[in-house]
Amino acid sequence: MTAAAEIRGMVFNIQRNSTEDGPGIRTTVFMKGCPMHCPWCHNPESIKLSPELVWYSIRCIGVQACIKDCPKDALTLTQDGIVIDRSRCDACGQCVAACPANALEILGKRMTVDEVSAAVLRDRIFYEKSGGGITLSGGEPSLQPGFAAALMQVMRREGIHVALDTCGGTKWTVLEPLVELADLILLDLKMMDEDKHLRVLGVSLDTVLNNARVIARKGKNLWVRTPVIPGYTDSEDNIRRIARFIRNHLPNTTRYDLLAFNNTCSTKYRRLGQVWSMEEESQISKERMDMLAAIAKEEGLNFVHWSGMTKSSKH
Amino acid sequence: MSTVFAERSTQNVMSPRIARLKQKLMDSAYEVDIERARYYTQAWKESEHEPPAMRAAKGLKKTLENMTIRIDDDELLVGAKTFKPVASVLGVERGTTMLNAAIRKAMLKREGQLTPQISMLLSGLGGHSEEFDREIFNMPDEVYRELKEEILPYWEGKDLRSMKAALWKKRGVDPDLTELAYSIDLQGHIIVGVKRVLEIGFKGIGEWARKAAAELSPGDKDCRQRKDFYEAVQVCAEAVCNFSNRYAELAEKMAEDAEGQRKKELLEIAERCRWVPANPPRSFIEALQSVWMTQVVLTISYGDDSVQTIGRLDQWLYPYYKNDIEKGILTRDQARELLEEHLIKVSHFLVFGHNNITLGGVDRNGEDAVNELSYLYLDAHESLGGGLRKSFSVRISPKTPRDFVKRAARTYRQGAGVAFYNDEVIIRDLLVDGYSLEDARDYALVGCAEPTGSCNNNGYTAGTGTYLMPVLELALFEGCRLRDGKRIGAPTPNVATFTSFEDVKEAFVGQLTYIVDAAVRHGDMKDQIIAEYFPSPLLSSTIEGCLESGYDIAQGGARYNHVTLGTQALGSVVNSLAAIRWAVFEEKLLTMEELLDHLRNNFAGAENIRQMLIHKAPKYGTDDPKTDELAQWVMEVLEKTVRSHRSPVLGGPYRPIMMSSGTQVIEGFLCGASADGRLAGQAVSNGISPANGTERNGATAAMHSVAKACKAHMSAGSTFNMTISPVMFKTEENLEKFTGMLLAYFELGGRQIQINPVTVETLKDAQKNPQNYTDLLVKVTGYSFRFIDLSTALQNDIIARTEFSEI
Repeated sequence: MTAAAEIRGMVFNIQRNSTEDGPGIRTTVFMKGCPMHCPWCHNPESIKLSPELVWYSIRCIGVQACIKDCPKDALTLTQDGIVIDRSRCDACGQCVAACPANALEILGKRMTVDEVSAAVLRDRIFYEKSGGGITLSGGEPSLQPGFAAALMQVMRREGIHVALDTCGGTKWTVLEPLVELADLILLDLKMMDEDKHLRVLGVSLDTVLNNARVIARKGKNLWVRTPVIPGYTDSEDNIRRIARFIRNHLPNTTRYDLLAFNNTCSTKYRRLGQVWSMEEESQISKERMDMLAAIAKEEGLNFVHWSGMTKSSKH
Repeated sequence: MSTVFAERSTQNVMSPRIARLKQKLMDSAYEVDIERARYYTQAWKESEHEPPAMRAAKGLKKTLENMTIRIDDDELLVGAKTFKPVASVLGVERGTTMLNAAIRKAMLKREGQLTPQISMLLSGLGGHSEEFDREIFNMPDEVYRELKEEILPYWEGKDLRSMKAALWKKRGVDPDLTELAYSIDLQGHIIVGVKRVLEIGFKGIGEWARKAAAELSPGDKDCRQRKDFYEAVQVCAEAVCNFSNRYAELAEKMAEDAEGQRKKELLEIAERCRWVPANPPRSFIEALQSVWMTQVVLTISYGDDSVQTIGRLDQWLYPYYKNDIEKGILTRDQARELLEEHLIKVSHFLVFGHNNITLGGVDRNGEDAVNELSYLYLDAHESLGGGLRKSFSVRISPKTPRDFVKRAARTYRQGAGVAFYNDEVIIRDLLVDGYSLEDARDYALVGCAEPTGSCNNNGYTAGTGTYLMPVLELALFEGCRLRDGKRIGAPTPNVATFTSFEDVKEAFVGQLTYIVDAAVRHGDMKDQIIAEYFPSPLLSSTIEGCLESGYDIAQGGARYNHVTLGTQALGSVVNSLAAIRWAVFEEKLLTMEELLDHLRNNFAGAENIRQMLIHKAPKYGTDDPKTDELAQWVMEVLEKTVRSHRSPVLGGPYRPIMMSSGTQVIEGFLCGASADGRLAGQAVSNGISPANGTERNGATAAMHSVAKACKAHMSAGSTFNMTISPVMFKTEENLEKFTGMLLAYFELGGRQIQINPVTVETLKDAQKNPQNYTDLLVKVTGYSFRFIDLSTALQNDIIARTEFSEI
């Protein structure tokens, strides 16, 4: 076994049969840790680099084995169910083992490149028949650059199509080796207002746009994605500016996706003991999505798609 | 001929004529039609001293001569198996199974004798809803009286059902054992001899029988019996030709009062009915008329219960289509409209399987067989929309164009689409049954989802079988069932003596061997009665081998013969075995005795143990190699056990099948709590699908597991139901992804798959507001069923199956 194969990464999900993260049928490896803190994040478990414990109320049968077995006394039963004292919990996992109903789970597992590769390669035939492959996502894969690069190298050697899903919010020197190893880059462009970008997301817009330009210069196949979020990214002006940037600076973009805001992740926040500011936010209407897509098309992009749940219908 | 199409459709939408025909069917309530039962009973009374084949022929003749016939407005294809628009053909001489059970139910209800338990047991296959039953309960007084006083009393002791019961009793069969080692009153389930009818017509068949009878000499083996068969075939063939002529006469008579276009159409109907199915068709529309009328008369001859499927129509009708197109007397649109009318016709069948049409695959030489009609059938399926009882089985080989696979997958945009079959696996399986390579390649799907040869075998893919979860229960309780402690199985050892998981497997094999042996014995007795007393000369005359040999299909006359032994619930069985291995022998979390106590108590006071077994024990369907090996072992043991038997009556092998047609609810009812955490009475898993809620690692992982379970030669078929979000079929891009997924599953070695593209939200709403969902179809097993017609228990099972996939 090579040393590279033993590099460990913090992974919170390996999702097989993923159809939303690139062409064909894919396995998406979700890695923990993200430099941005988007208020709408639909994977709140991806933000911290460390593992986190969650409790599923619908599975709990009330035997309280978890409370008894917790060596840190981090769990208590209240009227609202099990409450996790996160200052005490170190995600040791003893409660998970004790629960007969799998009502507790540790999100985030240190896995070797070999372990992840073995899981991904199980579905090789599905990638071959559908033009799919692996997508590294998160979180932000480039926060674990060594692990991500090692995994991508293994996949390239196996002849598997590799997509990198990045927020573009890390330094180019860190991101570059990963971009080099990818066949396809999925890049988020969220908002074009510099101040708002820094204030809301915690990362400067310049970093993202510069990364985007360099990726473009490398001639990598690029899919750009914009989450359409009420009050943040859903203005006509914002979409128009993103579309112009793509037209003017990212000539190798082959697809632009508008992803409608999704509020089904509110339970995820609750399980993590967090209050989500957007819990009450309603979905975007289908007409609005159609309109925003039309604006991007007006700017000369002929590869605009939109998807996600909307008010009028499940899409 | 070229002007028969008054209203042509240009887009992929129904013409007004087709829309009216569809609406008429949708508006028709289920009724009881007793004409066939009446005339068979009369004919039987008049022929008590005649040979059985001739009695069958005379029953058919009398019915075809006397039953009321009709030609409806808008029809170009004519013929109906009952006078009432939607009714089943009561094969009264064979007893009461499936839909006939509904009649029995209706009668018991009238008499105030229908308990919920009897109702459920009588529902049996299909598991109909109360809504469905309610319609049947509207039985007019005079129908009830005739059935009760004149028809049914005659058959007491004379129909297959009572003769079987009497023979079982005489031979000392334990009635409790027949619940688990069952053989219900049917054979059937056959691809009828469409090919022969198209080739030589019923005139040709009658002529063949006449010549063959004349060539028999007194010294020949079974001379008397074979002569009887040939004479019966002649009577049947002539009756069929005369029946079609009755339609010709009716059309001519109606034409007298008709005007313009309809008059012309009626005269053309008359011309067609005089020519086919007596003679080989001369055009595409004649070929369709011939195929439909053949299915009508065969159903009348045999009853609705014994499914008679029409096979590879895209192949067999193609020469007529091609010829007409080349001659310029038919357009693609006209052909599609005729296919639509034919599909509406087959949607009149209430028992599923009659309406299953096979498309695609390879031809007899192994070359890709997809043709324009294969596409046209899918177009017709799509333009007709939901709500109809039509069903397609699409065969996929490595040579099938990807475009066709995608086209077939697109049918899921409308809800329940086609079911997919893997040629490579199925042809391999059929070779083990003894089919020649050419005949194996020419297979079609019978009934729900069962591969058999085309027009050359006795079918019989349903009727005899067992339930594996109760068999596993017997293995844990020394041959006693949990429900009441009664010993019905083999005396396998007490679990106290089990020292390893191998002992559990050995006890399971012991019980399986014992129960399969019993089912075979029970089935063989029934088959002997059918061979002696209930031949089917008309059906036999269409099947390759019977006219050649002079033997009926019930006597092994077909070119190929087999008996199928039914099972289901691979997921529940494997999960139970895996849970025992894990909890008792590997992790030692509890002892065998403790586990058995929990099962006896239905996990009362041990919810934590039950949850642990559900959540922590390994599961089939998660791409866990160790558990998948166990699934493979179960399948191989089942194959070996079943294939060790041959039918003494039919002379062919027993072959295994694993599928569920609502029967997962019945098996659950028969079985106490199980080691997979299932509570007593809960439904077991369907077919070879993973158990509800256990596809933890998603669709591709489930496909890996299921494909491994397909390695055993389950030649009569296995079904895998998968719920996939409707989103997967909406866009071209997703359709392409699904196509890739399907092809990958087949490359892994999966035998078959059917998809339910529905959301839980939709299903729950349909349960609440059935009136809004008359169009909603779901896949039950190979075939599609109106969701609102299913029993609540089966609806709940489908919802549970769907629920998980959305988390």
